[in-house]
Amino acid sequence: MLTLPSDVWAMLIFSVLVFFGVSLFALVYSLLQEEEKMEILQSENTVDTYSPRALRDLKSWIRAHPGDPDVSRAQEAYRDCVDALQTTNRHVYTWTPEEIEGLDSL
Amino acid sequence: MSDTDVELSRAQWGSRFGFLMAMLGAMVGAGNIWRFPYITGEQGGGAFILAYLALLLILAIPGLIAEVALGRYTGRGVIGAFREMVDRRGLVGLGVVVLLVNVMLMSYYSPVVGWTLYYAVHSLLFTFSAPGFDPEAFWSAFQASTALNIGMHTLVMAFVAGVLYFGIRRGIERLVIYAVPGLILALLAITIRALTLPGAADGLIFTFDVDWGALARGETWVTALGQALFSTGLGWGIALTIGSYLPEYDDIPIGGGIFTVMGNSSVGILAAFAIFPIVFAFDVDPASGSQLTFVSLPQVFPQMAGGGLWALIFFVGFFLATFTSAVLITEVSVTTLNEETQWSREQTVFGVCAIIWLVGLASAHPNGYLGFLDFVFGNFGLPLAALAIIGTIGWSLSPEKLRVIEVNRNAGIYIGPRWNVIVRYVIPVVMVFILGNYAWSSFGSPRMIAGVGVLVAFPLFGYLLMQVLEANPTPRSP
Repeated sequence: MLTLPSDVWAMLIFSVLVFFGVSLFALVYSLLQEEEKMEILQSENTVDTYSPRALRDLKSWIRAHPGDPDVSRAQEAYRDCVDALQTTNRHVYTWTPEEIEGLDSL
Repeated sequence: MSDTDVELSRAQWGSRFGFLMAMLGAMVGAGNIWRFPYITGEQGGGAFILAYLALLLILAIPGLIAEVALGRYTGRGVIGAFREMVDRRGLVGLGVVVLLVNVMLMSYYSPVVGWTLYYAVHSLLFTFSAPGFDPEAFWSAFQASTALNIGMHTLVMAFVAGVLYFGIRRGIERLVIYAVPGLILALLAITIRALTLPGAADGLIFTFDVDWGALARGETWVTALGQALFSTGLGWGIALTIGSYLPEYDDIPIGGGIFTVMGNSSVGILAAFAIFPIVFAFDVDPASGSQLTFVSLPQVFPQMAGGGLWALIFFVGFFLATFTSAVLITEVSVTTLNEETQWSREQTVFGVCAIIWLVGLASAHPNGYLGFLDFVFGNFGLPLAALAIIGTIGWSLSPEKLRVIEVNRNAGIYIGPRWNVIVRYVIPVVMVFILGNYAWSSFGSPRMIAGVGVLVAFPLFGYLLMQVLEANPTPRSP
């Protein structure tokens, strides 16, 4: 057993948890997420691409920037997500049926 | 529906794991192993780690997310990405600035990779555990040899070309999915051995002892800032290029931001666990850079039981760390020039590698300019390139647009509007501060004058070049 002052132990454990812990968690989470998306894609042929909050942000941006050169791209991304939500049963993000029903197609 | 149709990484990355390893392999380089552990110990130990962590969270992760997102948003290399962001054709030249800085960085990084290759080869020959081996004399003899240095530089660029020739999926991805885990396993194995050595505790105390007073020193924060921003790969154009091959269903914030930044830092911490307990256990002076890895450590390995094997594990791992970075740094130019010209990928690979090899001769030569170029491009070129990328996202493209359309698309975590403030204001201001600080601290020196020359000449050259080229566009690769 290494003999280290308590503050060195504390910093060592903190560093291991924060750096290794977060990177390992991010790696595993990311790979599991890919697997889940693959499964949904295989069963539903499409996936929802935005979380409820992210889709609200996208919609607000589209409404606020009607003349932006990229607005059609944003609209397409919005519609793709809404279509996926309305035509599939399994979703990547947590959407309630009420939230999905309340979505408009711009 | 066929498997191909549902493949998440539809373009060049064959898998999510491949993308993540490419990001990590690109960012983990010599600095993680020979610089990070030493500066941590020198700049306040645990206090430096806390300062560094804060800057990673505030600046590096948001910055890298922006760069990867820009790559996927535009689906282009550095010049193409700028073309999508700016209205005036001359400003596309900012992409040329990033490209030139990247080529210059790679030109002096290749000889460094050559050093690691030379030592990896000698570790395979068990030179370091041979009787009478003198590390200092061995290093000095190597450094004095023009033929060996240029030979290693040539070999490295040939290997890089060999990997890039096979493309993103069959070349780079095949390399990184083995090389990056291989490097981590090598460091883990050395760590386990190092921590069981008598006297190892002193090495850990050197790195992790907390000097709270360091948090009140400006030098700690400036060093942490440089380490947090540039060792994580911001501004190199690498994240942008890797992101341009990222399929639409992949997440950016977790993989391109959090995993890359924290994973890269974890390798630095792991190197601290692996190296300094050994250095202190054998009472060798801690150092940084080439002195640490090529003189201090080879002094220690022969004294360890099975030292030849430990030297082999360390130097092969070290070579993998530097080589994967070299491959991905070079890919930035290959992707860009392949798009901007009518050259095939194969022609572009050999053209780019030949140019880097040629420019790199100035650094590979024993009396060359490696140190000078490292100072000029590490301290002035890189902040300039980072400022070009992040500044253009912040002030021309609009971070809010990038956030709502690209960053949060298929994201594992939601990125809120505060991210816009960091991209638009904080990172550009920090880059200007870094540039000013480097200029001030070396004011009037030839290196500072050369750095300022880069700051003026590169944007001017890029602007004029693209002003001309965009007015007479040549057909580009699709």
